Amino acid sequence: MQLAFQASGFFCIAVLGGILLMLLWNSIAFFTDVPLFFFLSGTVWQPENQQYGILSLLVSTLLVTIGAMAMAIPIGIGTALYLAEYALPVLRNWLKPAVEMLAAIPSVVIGFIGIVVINPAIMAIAKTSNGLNALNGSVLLATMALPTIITVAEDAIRAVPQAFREASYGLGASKWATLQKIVVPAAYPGMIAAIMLGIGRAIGETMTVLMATGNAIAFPKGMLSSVRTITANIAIEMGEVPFFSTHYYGLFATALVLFIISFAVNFAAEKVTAHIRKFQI
Amino acid sequence: MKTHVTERVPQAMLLLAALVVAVLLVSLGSYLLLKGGEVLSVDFLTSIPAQGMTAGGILTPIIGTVALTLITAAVSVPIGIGAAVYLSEYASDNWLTQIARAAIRNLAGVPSIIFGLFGLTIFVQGLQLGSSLLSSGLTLGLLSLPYIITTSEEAIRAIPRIVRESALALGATQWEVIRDIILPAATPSIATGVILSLSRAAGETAPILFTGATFYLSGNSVGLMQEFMALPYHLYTLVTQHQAIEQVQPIAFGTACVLLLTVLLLNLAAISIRRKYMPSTLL
Amino acid sequence: MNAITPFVAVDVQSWSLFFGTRRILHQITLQIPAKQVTALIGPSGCGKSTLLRSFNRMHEINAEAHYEGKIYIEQKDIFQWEVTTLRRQVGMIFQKPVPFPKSIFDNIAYGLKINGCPPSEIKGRVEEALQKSYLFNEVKDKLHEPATRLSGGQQQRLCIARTIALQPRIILMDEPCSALDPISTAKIEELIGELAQQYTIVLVTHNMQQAIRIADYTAFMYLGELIEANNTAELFQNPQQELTRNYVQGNFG
Repeated sequence: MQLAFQASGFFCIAVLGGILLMLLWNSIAFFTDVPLFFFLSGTVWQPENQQYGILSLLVSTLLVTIGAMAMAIPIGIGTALYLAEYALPVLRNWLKPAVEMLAAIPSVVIGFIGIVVINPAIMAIAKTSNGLNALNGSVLLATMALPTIITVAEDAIRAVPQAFREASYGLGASKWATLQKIVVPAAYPGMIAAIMLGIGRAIGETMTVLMATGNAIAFPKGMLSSVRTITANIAIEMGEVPFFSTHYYGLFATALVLFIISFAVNFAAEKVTAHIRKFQI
Repeated sequence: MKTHVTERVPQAMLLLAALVVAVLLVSLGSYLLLKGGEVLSVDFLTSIPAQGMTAGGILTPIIGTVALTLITAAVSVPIGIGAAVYLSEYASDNWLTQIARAAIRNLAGVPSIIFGLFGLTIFVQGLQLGSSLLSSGLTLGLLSLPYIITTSEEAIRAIPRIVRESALALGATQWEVIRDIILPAATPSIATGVILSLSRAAGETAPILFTGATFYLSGNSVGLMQEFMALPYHLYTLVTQHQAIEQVQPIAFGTACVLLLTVLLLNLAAISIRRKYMPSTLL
Repeated sequence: MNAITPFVAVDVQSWSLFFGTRRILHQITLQIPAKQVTALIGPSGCGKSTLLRSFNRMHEINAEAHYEGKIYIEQKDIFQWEVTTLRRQVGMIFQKPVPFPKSIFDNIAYGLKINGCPPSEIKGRVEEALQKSYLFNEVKDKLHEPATRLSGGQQQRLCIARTIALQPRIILMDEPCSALDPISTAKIEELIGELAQQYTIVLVTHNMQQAIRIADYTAFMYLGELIEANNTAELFQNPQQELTRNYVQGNFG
């Protein structure tokens, strides 16, 4: 029986190893055809013309993610601080599960909102003919990253010992001063981890960006231009590509880049949380 | 007076942030439920798509999603709970265990589209299962695994050590303690985690894009080795791939609403299980 | 001094215990008489619970623990027993009552089932155990209700019933009343007195009054060493060691 449990325990190593191996194997097949340098420095992704530059896809991914974080970080951290420090228990007991439920909404549903709500809104406000663009994707990804940021940051803030706050009040400090000078610095690593996890969630998201960003393959000019992220590009092209062609392998190479980025982001988040545990009282 | 302003302005700004989130939640939910509610009916849920999906209901994708979720559960629940038992009850703290834990944490952060590629490579091509319900179910099973392991391990660890010792002190073997005491006591929390993980998997689209989901299927036949329709993929194709945008939009709203309601109900079920059983299992 | 030991139930011979490199118990030698109540007392951290948990090999779930010396239960080295058999012979009651998430009946039947008791005997033995722990009249109408609904004191008596259902030779009690109110404590103490007619009882307690009330013999431990063991009245009234005198007079602890 123990053996069965042990096998289950190590199964995840096999899966992660398998994923890595699959990505590497297919990417190597790609890089025997297309030099790594052209892949990483090319801005044009036109497989039909043997152009396999990842830059425009990569920049699109980063643009949408940065846009999302510009919205999600202030709102998410602000909400976390409010819930942890000011909110009445009644509000907290309602808002927190509701926020967790937001995390459970399928990404297609969020993407659908992008099409039927955000799209016309952007067209009306920015007076453009198309609201399916980087901004739209950013708004949606911000919505999706919010639950992660709020819950993780709020836990970090609440983990700051009450004695810290009381000691500060004891010295005559006000609530806001205590929050600024004592609570936030103490919860800082947890808040960074929250942001990193939010970024990880946004970078790897496929369906919402696929539905809401317009998917034009050109190099992005700004938040109002139609963009295609790495994830969306895989979703669009993998269905049509002939198996085991250079194009097919190329999609795995872009997936490898995505894997490395999200691995790095999650790794950073984990390092920060490990740091908190080490210094927890 | 000065302290008043410096206290109130920041508090108001934080409140504003929380209000933005609350308004976002309420408007998002109510908008979808209202618009979807217009088309929701027993008929909508129990009839198959008709006239090129511009009419009829969503029975076929509902059946597909249910079947898919059952396969996902069949893969991820036994392996996930097994791994959780191993990590919490048997594993000693050596390098191999640490690698297993790191693998689980990292697997949870792998973008779902990469799981889709993995399913395509391993199940569709490698194991020759083809583009099928089984391939998609296996893929989603792998995707759910880290969540089920993490929540189950937490549930098992929450059982006080003294409970294990009490059973051991009666002469129970380690396996008897796990089977008769630990797992029954942890079942409500494990069930909560399993429900939430499966509700997440049921809403996933990216991993089933190239492993078995199809945009249209005539009839209601379900087969392990067949392609299938699924609710999330149905919504995606309706709003992005269909020509008759105006005609399919009500159906799209209905589908989105059903997805949302399913997730809400599963979450509520999970929360109520947690509330009902927690006090007695925490001892 | 009345140190006639008709029969030694637990014979500890220069027993030392380590967690990793930390020494918790140092060369303890102690004979525990059969069918008597023996109390282990001492300030917290003195190793009394650790010693108690050595008797049923409870430290084995901790990979860090290792030992020197011998412990004989009924003249047999504890490491020559099958561990599950040893634990059935040497029952244990913990600081907190630990009902399993099962019915009252199944809580007691569980130990019997896993130890191979024939199904036809289970009902009788469950009732007998409940009678012996003076719980039967309180629970006879709700045997199939969850055990978690009982009061703390009832739960602890249920745990005692669960243990004696297996007909052990020795019952180890690790501060069994520390989580209970005074009335429940009095009931448990009375029960311990009754049980001592049939079983050897080793009681860890931080409460000296409790040791005086119910223990026939008392052993005083300090910093992992056994300082003094004697019959209870003698140990408290006429301690031979300076440390013991200071402790029983309440000068530290």
